[in-house]
Amino acid sequence: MSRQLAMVIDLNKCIGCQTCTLACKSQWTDRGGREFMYWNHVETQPGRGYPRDWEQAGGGWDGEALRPGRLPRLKEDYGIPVDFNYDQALFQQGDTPLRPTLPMEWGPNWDEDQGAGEYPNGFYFYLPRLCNHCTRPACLAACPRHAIYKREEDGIVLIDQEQCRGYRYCIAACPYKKIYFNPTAGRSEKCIFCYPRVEKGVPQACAFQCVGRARHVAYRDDREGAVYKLVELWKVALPLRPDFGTQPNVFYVPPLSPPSFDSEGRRTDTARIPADYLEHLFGPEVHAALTRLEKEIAVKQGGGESETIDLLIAYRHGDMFRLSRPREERP
Amino acid sequence: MKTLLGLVTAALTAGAALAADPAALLMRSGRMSAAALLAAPPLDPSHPAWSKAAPTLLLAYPQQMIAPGLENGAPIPVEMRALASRTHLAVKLTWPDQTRDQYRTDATDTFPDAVAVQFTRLEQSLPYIGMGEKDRPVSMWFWRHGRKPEFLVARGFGTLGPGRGRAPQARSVWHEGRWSVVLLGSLPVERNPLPLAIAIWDGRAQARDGRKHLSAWHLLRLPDRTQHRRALTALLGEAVATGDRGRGRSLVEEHGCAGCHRLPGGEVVDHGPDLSFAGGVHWPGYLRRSIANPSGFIVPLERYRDSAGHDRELSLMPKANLRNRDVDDLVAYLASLR
Repeated sequence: MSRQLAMVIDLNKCIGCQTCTLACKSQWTDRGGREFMYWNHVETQPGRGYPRDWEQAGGGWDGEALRPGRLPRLKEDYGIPVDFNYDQALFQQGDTPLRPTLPMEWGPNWDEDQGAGEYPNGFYFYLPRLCNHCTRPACLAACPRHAIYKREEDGIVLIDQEQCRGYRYCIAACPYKKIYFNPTAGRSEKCIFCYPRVEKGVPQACAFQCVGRARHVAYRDDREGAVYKLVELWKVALPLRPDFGTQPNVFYVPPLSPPSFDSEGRRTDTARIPADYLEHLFGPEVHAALTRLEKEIAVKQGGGESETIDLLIAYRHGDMFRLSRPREERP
Repeated sequence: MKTLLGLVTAALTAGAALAADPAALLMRSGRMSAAALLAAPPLDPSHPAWSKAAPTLLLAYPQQMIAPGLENGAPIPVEMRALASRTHLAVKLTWPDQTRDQYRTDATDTFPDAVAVQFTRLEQSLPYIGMGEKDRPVSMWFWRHGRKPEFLVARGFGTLGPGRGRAPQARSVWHEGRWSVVLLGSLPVERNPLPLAIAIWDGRAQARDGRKHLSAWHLLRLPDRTQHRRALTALLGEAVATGDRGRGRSLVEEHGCAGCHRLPGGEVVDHGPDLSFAGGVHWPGYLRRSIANPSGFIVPLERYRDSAGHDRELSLMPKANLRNRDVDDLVAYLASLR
């Protein structure tokens, strides 16, 4: 593969508004058996996530071997997209409240903002997730039909819909559970990194629509790009669950914590989000990344210059995306 | 069946093969059966006309040659009856399945029960049982409970796709732990007899793709058509395993075959295809050719091949220096693994 397009998501800027989720859904998954799918979603962590308990569902690599995984269930793990009684509630006489037409037991974002910890030390943060377009995709390796391929020009991982026969080994193999079976079509589908937009030099819908300016997109070898700087140069952005072994190409600036309070209500030096929990999600590099980030923030707060913080602030929306187009055409 | 094979052998060794009818010998060996003639073969599995077709027992073995497959399991008996006109063929397959699993559009983790009949063009040898070979395609009728039946074509593993032929019609009944499925369509391949094999999938066990049970090639004699005698004679010759099974087993031990292939009662190794049911899924001629020329056809799993530094891919299996009698004995042993 000659180039790899990649994304950095700054978790300190994500406000959980789901604009990315809806940008994706309205573009790609609002029809044809995809209604339950969220190729991009934002989940609250700590939490069970989407699909439910995806972290415990197996997949990924165990050295050179694929780790076994299980298939998420539509009702229990994804949640059935129910209809609402709009007609009755809004257009008929009477006081019928607006309600789902079926009882809802689980869905994306079901445990939003619950998090963990006891008052006054409760904590949570938002974790936007999409296909990681991995460098070592377990899904690709698991497909006996070679229906999954990684594009030479940008490393985007795609499922050939002509070749897929819905066997779903890829879904079991993806440790992030970011491939979905479309039971109407009988084939598996996933985030396409908005390749038709990318080919026209337009950023992914999730990244472009992000109101928090939390998402940067660039090729990994582009030394002027945010991805190279944040991941390779400044080392403040990390992959999610690197222990899965798939080498993701979506990176996260890990979340900073407010301090904990002791039983007397006094501030302590302990971060609210437990260090071992962050290490579980982002690997052992997370501590150094947070230290570097805090240092840069202190510099900036003290009136100094911080290229890192300036980049993360993203003063100009257009500077967040480098898709190899002439500068004047960039958004 | 083995005594019948012995009979075939006796006939061949007596030099009677040329005089004997190869079709009759193949019928007696259990590797061939006849479709009954009927002007309009029925779709309904309970149609009285099915009593005209003699039942044939085919054993479907767990697929273990290539991953993903089934780890273990016993063969499943499948009863086949066939009725044919000049233009159409109806095949009725009946097999045990404790649960009735339908394709669901409201689930992402379930798989339907399914059955496939695989066909190929009659030649002097038969293509590899699993999805055919690059130059020797197979076609199939594929039925899944709750989906439209399909006509598919394959030229080797991973190549299965829609074919240009017409999809068959299908009707199915599940009753007291048994499926009966009739597949009815225009005859998929010219030439008589028609080589076919069957595969079944148990949806409850998450069966799909290679996680199936399959039979060996079987010949179906079509009524009211001349038979391709030359191909039949060749296939009869390939079907025969005249060697000494016991000696074949000793040779397997001597040559350390179990270092790469799993054999009954042996350790789980996967450097080469599992041979636990080698006789159940392979026409003996295939076993013979694999031993004599391992690189002639390589089961297409990456680890079975050695492509480094050669013009063409080689099988990892060494070509052993064997006498004809050794090969006969090895084939006899492997053909008995069923």
